[in-house]
Amino acid sequence: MIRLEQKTSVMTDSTTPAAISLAFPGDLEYIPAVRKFIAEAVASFGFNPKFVYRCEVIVDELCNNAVTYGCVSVTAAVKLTCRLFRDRAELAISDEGGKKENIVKLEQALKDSDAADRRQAVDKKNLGMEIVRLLAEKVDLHIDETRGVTTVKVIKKCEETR
Amino acid sequence: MNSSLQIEVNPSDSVSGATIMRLMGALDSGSIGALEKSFERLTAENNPYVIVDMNAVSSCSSSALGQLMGGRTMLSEHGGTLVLAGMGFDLKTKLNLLGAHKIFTIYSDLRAALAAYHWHHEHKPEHIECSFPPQIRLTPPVRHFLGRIAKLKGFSDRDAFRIETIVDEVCNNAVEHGSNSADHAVDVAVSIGLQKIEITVTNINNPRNIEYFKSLSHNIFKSPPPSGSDLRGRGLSLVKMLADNVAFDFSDDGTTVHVTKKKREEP
Repeated sequence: MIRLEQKTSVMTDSTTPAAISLAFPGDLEYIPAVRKFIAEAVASFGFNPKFVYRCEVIVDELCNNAVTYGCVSVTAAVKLTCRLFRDRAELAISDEGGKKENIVKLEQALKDSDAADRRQAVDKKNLGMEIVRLLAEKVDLHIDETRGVTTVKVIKKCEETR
Repeated sequence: MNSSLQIEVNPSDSVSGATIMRLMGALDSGSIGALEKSFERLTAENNPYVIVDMNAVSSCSSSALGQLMGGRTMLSEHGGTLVLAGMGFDLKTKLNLLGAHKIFTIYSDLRAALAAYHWHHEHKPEHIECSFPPQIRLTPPVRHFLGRIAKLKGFSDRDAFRIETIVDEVCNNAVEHGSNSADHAVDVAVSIGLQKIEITVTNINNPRNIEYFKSLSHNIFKSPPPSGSDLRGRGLSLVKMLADNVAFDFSDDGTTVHVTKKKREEP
C-alpha cells in the first residue's frame, strides 16, 4: 500500500503565515543577495511579480538603512523576518540601533505628516524610508533600548489575493 | 607650502592590528610632505593594515593622490596594506576618474574596512543564519542565496554551483523527511571564511521517518552509493562526493547535517 503523506500546509488561511528569517553580517555587499532571496521566497508562494518586486525594493531600502545607520560594531548583524500571509507580507528588520542622532532621524522620517510635501523636500540621498512608506501600507519603528535593538516593521498588502 | 590638512593616526579600538589614518581638510600639493612623513612612520612601525579615513577630506589633487599611492607602495613593500574608506560621492567619483579604484581597495565606510580586515587578514569567518518552514518550494531560494554569497566571498562559479547543489540536497532532505509541522522550521547556519564554507542544516525529525534518519546515520556514509535501480538515497551520496567533509548528528528529536566545502578553484 502506498501512503501519500500530506505536508501540513502553511498559509491555508490569512492567520497562519509562512515565516522566513535571516541574519547576515552588517555589510552592504550582502544586500543584493538578501533582497533576491526574499523576492524568490515571496514569488514561490505565488504572489504576482509586481508585489514580489515591491517587496524586493522594500527589503533593499530597509537593509541599506540598517547597515548604513544601524550597524556600529565590526561584527554587527542585521536580522530580517518575512511572514507571508495569503494577502500580505510582513517584514521586520532589526539592527544594533546605531547612533542616537540616526535613530532620531529615523523616527522623524516615520512621523506621520504630509508625505508628499516631505518627499519633495527630502534630500535625494535619503529617500529610503520615503520609498518604503510609499510602497507599504504600514511602517512602524520599535526601539528596544535595553537590548539596543531597533526594528522597523512593515506591512505590504497584495492588491489581489492569490 | 602651507596646507589645511590635519592628520590623526590611531590604532583601531575594535580591531587589533588595524591602524586608522584620519585625514581632515584639503588634500593638495601642500599636504604631500606631511603625508609622506606619516607613511614613513607607519612603515617603520610595521603596521599591517592602514585605513585612510577620507570622510572629512574636502578635496584631493592628483599630486596628493600620487602621494597616497606612494604610501601604499611603501607599506606593501613591508608586507602591509593600505585601503581607503569613507569617501563622499563627489570625491570618490573624482578619484575614480583619476584611476584610484584600480590601485586602491575602497570601502564605503570605516566599519566596512575594519570588517574586511577581520575577514581577510585575521581569517575570521562571517556568519549567516536562515530559517524557513519545511516546504520544498523554499529550497531553491535558499540554495540560490547561498550560491550568491559564495561567489561574493570569492568562490569560483563552479565551486559556488557545487555549494548550491549541496545546500539543495541537504535542505530537500530536511524538508522531505523532517517534521512537516509549520512550527518546526529548517535551520541553516553558515560560516564562511577565506578558504572554506561550513553549512549546518538542522531539522526536527518526523516520528514516521525515524527509521530513515537512523539508516542514514548508520549506513549511508559507510555504504557505496545507490545503484541505478535505486530511486532514493542519492542526495546525500552526492553531497558526500561534492563536500570535503560531511558529519551527521542524529537524535530522536532532530537531525543535523554539517558540511564543509573548501575553496578549490580561482574565481
